[in-house]
Amino acid sequence: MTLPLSRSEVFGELRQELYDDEKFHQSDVHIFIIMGASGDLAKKKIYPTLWWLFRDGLLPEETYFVGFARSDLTVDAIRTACMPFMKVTEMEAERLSAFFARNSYISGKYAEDASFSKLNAHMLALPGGPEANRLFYLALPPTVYHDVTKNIKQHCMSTKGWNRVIVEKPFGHDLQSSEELSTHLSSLFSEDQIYRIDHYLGKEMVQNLMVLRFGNRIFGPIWNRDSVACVVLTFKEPFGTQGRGGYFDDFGIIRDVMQNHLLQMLCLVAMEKPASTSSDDVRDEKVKVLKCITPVSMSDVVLGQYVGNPEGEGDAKLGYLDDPTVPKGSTQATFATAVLYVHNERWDGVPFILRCGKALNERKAEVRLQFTDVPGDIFDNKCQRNELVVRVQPNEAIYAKMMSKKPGVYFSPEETELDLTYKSRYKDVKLPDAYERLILDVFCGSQMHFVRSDELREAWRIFTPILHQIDKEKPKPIPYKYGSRGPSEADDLVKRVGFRYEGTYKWVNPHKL
Amino acid sequence: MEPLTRSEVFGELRKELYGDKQSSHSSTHVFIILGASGDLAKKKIYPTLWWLFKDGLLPEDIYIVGFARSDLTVDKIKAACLPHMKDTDEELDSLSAFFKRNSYLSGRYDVGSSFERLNSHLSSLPGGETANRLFYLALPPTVYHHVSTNIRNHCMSCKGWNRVIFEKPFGHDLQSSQELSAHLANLFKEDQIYRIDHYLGKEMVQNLMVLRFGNRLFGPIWNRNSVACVVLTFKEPFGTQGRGGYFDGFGIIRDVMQNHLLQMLCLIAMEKPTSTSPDDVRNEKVKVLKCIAPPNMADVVLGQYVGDPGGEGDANLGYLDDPTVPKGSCTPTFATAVLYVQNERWDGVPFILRCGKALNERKAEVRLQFTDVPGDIFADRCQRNELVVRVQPDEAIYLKMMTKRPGVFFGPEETELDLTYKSRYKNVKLPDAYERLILDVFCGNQMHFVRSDELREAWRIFTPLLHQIEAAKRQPIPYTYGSRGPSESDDLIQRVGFRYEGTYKCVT
Repeated sequence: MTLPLSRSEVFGELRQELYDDEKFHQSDVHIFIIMGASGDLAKKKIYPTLWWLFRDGLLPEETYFVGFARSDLTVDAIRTACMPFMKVTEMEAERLSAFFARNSYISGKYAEDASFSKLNAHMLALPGGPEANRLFYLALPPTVYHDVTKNIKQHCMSTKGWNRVIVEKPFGHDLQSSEELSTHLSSLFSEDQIYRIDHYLGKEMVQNLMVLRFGNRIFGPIWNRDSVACVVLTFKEPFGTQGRGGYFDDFGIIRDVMQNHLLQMLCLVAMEKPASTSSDDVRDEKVKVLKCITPVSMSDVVLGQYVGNPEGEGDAKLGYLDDPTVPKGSTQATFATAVLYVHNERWDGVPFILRCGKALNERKAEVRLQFTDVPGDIFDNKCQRNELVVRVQPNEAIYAKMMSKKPGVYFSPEETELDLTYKSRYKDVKLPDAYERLILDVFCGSQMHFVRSDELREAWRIFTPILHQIDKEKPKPIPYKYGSRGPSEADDLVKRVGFRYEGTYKWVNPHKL
Repeated sequence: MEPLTRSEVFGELRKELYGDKQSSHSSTHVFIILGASGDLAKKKIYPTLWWLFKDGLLPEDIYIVGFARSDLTVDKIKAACLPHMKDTDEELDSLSAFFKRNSYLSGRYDVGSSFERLNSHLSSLPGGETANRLFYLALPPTVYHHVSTNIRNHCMSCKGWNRVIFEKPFGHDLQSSQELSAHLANLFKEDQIYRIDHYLGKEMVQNLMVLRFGNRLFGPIWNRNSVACVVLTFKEPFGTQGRGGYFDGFGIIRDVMQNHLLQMLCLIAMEKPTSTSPDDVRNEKVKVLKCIAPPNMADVVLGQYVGDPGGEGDANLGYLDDPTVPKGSCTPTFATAVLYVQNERWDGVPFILRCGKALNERKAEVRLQFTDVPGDIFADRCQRNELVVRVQPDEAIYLKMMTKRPGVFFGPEETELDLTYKSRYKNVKLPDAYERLILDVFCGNQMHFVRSDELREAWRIFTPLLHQIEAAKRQPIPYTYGSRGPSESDDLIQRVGFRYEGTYKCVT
């Protein structure tokens, strides 16, 4: 292992990697338009991310940022709103000024043609504007997607450079609405202009899944139904809806987390090896594996809704229904466990368990493969199942839980792990935020970590029947206490389909001992 | 979980060992050290018995009897051993108790009456008539015949059991080894014969069985389809240190390769045994040895170290500079040999054994290098996976593999999934190999001792090569003290299929 690279060395290397790539022309002019510049996402995520990329010299020098929203704002007002989220040090003050010097703001109405003509005129007036490449980030509520996209197409497309449109979820709320939106978008833009963000695809460990699977010989022969007993994909948050339950109530946990983030991770774990690492080859495999998954059935689902913990402090005392913005008597689920099956040669019969929830006992997102028992055991049934765990957050890590001789004078087996904890092994490496990676990918024209239209369609196909059933029948979700592990019925389900929870093992961070 | 205290650990172990053998535990045991005046006795045997005694791992009623030609007393033995015994300051009471159970007899190895006298002494100890007897031969092989015969004729316990512990060398080739084995088989049954290969007492070597057979992950990849080659390594950073004369009669192949490395190879290559009972395990070891043909001279590199002009102290001296080494000796101090296991699981996979003195580091490890990823999509940037079990120093297991280069990049780079014992098991005392092995003899567990047919196979494999080397007086390749050994060795292993990338350094 070489000495850790300094920050500028890292970014120097990356710049080289990027600029050697013919798709990324350093000298072109780029304009990044933030639609919804006055909103939360813009000030908390987009502007800060752009600033970090700009600061680290990862964006082409000739990049201009244009904010657009209904409010009557100025760049200074935007700057003030963003500052708390920008993480600027004293030494960077000058660079920050340079960043904001490239920023401008236009106000207008989302449904109004004239506003967009004005926006276009403004962009043309920027230095190099007519030839510039244009990235449109829709940091907007879905209600205005139709209008905004139509107007962008009609008034704001660059004629000389390329155009890319970045959209955030929700992409519809079921198969039909999603297809409508997709059809609308494809009538306006080609697939290679559409960048649907699932920010989990920008996370270090999620991006690592492909390298782990396809770059290592040892995993090849065991990555299938012969050796894998089950796969568990988990997302847990330790806090509730925090006063924004009203918005959440329209969607529920399945639309919020399961149908996208967890399903994406499932794809990366289950897919076949692609023909190459080009975006479409990779996404082809993801779509292929999704097609083998039938819609999940109600009997393989457990739904929960958190209630307050009387002994808890602060927020923990409040249940979902205590949130004043949540409709009275709502049966919306804040927790769900579902079991999916991939009906193909590699995975037939292997349960893929997706578990997600708010107001649980910890913050955690991970992928866990549990392997089958050792056949022909000679250790008196003392061996527990091997597991390969990829911890996405917090504390990125990979570890293989396995059996070893109990160290010391004994001879029998006990559990241990082969471990790779990033903050120990890669102490000096800066792991970028998911958005930094993804926005950079848009500049480079790499769509590998964005959701393609057919991918999206398949994801909705799998979940729509059950979502409709839930919306119609309004089953009462099982109550669970804020800060607990969720309803025990979820553990029952998971055990019933084949996951063995030994309870004897606790991962020990060897670097903390 | 709180780490167990020392006495809790040993309490658990006592239960594990003696749980269902209370009757045996309460019997009297006599441990006889033949060659009590020698190096091995004072540096290893007596200290090991002391540690076991102190930790309460030996049966309560234990007596230790030393026997040698010298005119010694227990006090003199105590004085000779003390520098090699640890923890004596806090445990003076225990130490006294220990030496109170010691006695010493002098006699001649080839004289029957000496052993009659020994027997009387043994029988006169409290409970001595019915005691179980362990005889440790800490002796040069020249006296094995006499001593073993005399033990058999004069010193066997009639009521308790008898076990005889031998150290290598067990002969110097197939014929001499078979003669010795035949002689011993005349006198003792196989279940009374305990041949020590102390590597079988090491933590990580004992772990090989659990790793292989207790983990589903390794099942499908532990064969010729996924394994490109296996490298078993033993390196010492020092030379013969003035004892070259003794070493010269043997050479590195007999000293290390034919036993320690070959034992580790067995544990890696064997099939899963029917159970963990000693004979089931040893049956599998013998079975896999039978599939190994003697290595070709073309697959062997021999070396002999020369002094490093820039080195300090010992490093300045080559093997031939040792005054006890015969002039112009061709005895190798370094050897690399490639063996093949011709069975369904391993056909075509090279098992590379490498060992040497006066090299650049101290290390003993087992390394499985896996084949390349088929259908690579990462532009040939992936290096081969490796599973490494480091036996010493710093016990560890790690899996070298590819991961996404962390940070803003997407390409693959090498990393490892790691288990380093001194981090993960900070509070665990790892016993010395001899502690484990001697305890096994008390318990009657032969799993970690070499059976006669095992030994025969090990000699069968190496004898033709040894004879060929000696007949031809093959000149070993010189290598500098403190180096990696002759580069011809690297050439050999690369030729047979090991890929050395040179890009990776294990960070633990």
